[in-house]
Amino acid sequence: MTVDRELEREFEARLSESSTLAFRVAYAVLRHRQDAEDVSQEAFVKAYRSFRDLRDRDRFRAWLVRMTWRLALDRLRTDRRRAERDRHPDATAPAAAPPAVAEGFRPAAHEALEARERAQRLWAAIDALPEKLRIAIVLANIEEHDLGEVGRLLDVPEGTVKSRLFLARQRLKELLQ
Amino acid sequence: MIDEEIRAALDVDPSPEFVARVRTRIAAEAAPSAWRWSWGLAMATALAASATLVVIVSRQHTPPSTSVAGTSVAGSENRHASEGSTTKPGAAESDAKAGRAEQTRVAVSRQARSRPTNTNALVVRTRSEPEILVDPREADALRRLIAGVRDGRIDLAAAQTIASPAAGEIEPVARIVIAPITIEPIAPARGAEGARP
Repeated sequence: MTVDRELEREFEARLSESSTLAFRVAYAVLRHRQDAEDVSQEAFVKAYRSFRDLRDRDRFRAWLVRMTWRLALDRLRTDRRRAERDRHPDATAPAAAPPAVAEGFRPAAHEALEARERAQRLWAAIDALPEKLRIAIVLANIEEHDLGEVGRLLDVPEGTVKSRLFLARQRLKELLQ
Repeated sequence: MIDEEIRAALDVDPSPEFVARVRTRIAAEAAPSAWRWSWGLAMATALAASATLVVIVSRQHTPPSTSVAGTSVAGSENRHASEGSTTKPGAAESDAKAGRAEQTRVAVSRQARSRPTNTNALVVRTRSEPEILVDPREADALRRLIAGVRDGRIDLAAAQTIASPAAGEIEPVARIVIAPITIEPIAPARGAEGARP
């Protein structure tokens, strides 16, 4: 009973510190708030089932990121409604708007349209990246992860992360120009 | 520049209810497993209890073979005794019947000698039962006493002649008188603490 309570306490701590990370990883793939929450919730449930083997913080976060990413990709591939949402993007999603929207500034109509188009092009370019480059560039831009942290999350050396980020940025520049 | 745009695009937080929903989902995930575990435990306990009950009931309803043998022996004894009693009036065949009665007595005594073996078998069989209502040794002693009386090996008349003492013959208990105890003060000993020689 004491061990179980200790595990519950540790899991609660992991959940509190990793919920945003899992959500953003899922959101980077799905770009839909509710779907991202569903997928990251599913990842947490799976993590809970295997938590006895995932008590280490780094191990837990790495496992959670990879599981969330995989579940999000599965969701993206299998969800038929996704095509409909692509034709009518979620207007409430902050990802489709520039940072000024999050700060409460209401831009003019043409500025909003321009920002939305730019965000759509950015996501289209990210989606066009190979999966290894894509997850590396996403993780590097979540919670200000450095190369070492991204390497631990992906279980690859820092040099590998560095080269993948270089290739990803180069490819994105080409796609966005 | 690209990284800033990506960072801004990913600067999305989950809804405030997200963590609470995850907690609820995990609680719902943990509850059925505990429920299944408790159900499994309850089922196993019920099965074990019913199996134990079946074993106890079946043992209680199984008639012990030794009691049947004892009954048959007693029956044969009675039969032989009645035969013996009926042979007394006959005068012509009295010697032959007396010889037959003697053979019957010998056979009965043989059966009586073989009875403790059956009783031992009963003791061995009942030793694994959960509780013993009658001590097997006491039961064996009673059986032997009854058999001895029937065989004429034990005479109970001698036991009846042992008279218990009458109430008037018992001497009254003398009254115990305890002398008063006086405690004299203790005189200080020489060389005790505080006294100099």
